[in-house]
Amino acid sequence: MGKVILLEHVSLDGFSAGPDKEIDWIKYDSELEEYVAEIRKTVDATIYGRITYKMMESYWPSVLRNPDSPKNQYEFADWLDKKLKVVVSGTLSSVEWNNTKLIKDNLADEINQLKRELEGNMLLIGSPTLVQSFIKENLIDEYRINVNPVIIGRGIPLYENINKKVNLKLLNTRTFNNGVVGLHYGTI
Amino acid sequence: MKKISVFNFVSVDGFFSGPNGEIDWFKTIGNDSEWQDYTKRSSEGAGSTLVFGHTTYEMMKSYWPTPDALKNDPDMAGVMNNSSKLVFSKTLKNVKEEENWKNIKLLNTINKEEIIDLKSKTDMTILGSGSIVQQFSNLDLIDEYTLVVVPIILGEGKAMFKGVKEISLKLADSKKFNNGIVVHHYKTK
Repeated sequence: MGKVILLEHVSLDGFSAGPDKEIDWIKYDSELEEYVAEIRKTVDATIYGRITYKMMESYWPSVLRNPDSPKNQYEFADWLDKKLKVVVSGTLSSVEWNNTKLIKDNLADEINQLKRELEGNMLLIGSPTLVQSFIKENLIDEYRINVNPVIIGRGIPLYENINKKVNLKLLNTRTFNNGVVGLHYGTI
Repeated sequence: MKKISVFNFVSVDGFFSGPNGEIDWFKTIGNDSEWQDYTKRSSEGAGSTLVFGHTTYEMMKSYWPTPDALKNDPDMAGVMNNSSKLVFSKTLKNVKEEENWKNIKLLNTINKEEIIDLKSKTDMTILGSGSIVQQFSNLDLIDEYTLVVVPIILGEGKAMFKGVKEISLKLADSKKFNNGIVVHHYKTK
């Protein structure tokens, strides 16, 4: 039985990116890289919205084809390639990348079925609009929110139009040397 | 050197109150002895002038001097009622002292020089008051932010940092409690 894990980097004021999708304020170093790698070890599938998927699809397969790719990039590309990729989009008609499943509608049924089928977890990254749908449909089992020590003032909010309360259970926190605090919540 | 702090309870999604100022979600905070010690120590160590905007002030006034508050939370009620209180409001004409509600000063405008002058005499702590947090932050008047993160997504409400400009912070400390509360403590310098 797999769980859906949300993994997000946010500013202290709750944005997942700046107004022009800037993410240069996100502090990401080897300590965080290891933290995320540990989470990734539990994962059998990654979930994206259309835009994030398109972005990933246009880049990572080429890293795999290029023999000169840096080692850490190559390893990530290889990992991505082998894992199931789940794309949620009402407008995409087909997907090209291997091991990719397109969900066009019935989001909750489809995701709950995947939870039953998969042994490992599913990782939801980026895609604020999709995150909102997942929260509304109670599909997220664990929240991994990395809070960056910066107020960015404006941008794309991670939590928007949710309009419902969700009670969480704190599982753990981790304070990183660069000032990021990793919050880890489960649902009740 | 005295300092100006923000001390606020926030939801995981960054709201300090519901859309109509609701704080009923504070009730979801579970009992935990370490947490109680922490809040007791924070209130005892107060001595700070409490700073409010109009809305938060009225909310505080409607609760802390009441018999309910004095009975349920006597330590905090004592601190709230006796501490110096500074209220910012363009519309309030005056603020009245009452039994169990003392030491109130009203200012109609936020003037940076005046606030820096006040800060030379007393620490100040802003509670709630989104618009005051915003205006003080944008005038570079805040030295520290303490955020008490309650384990709940509210889904809608008043955003803690609405309209605040970009600010780089330094994490001084982050502490978790067994009832699921996480307290982040940031400094601006």
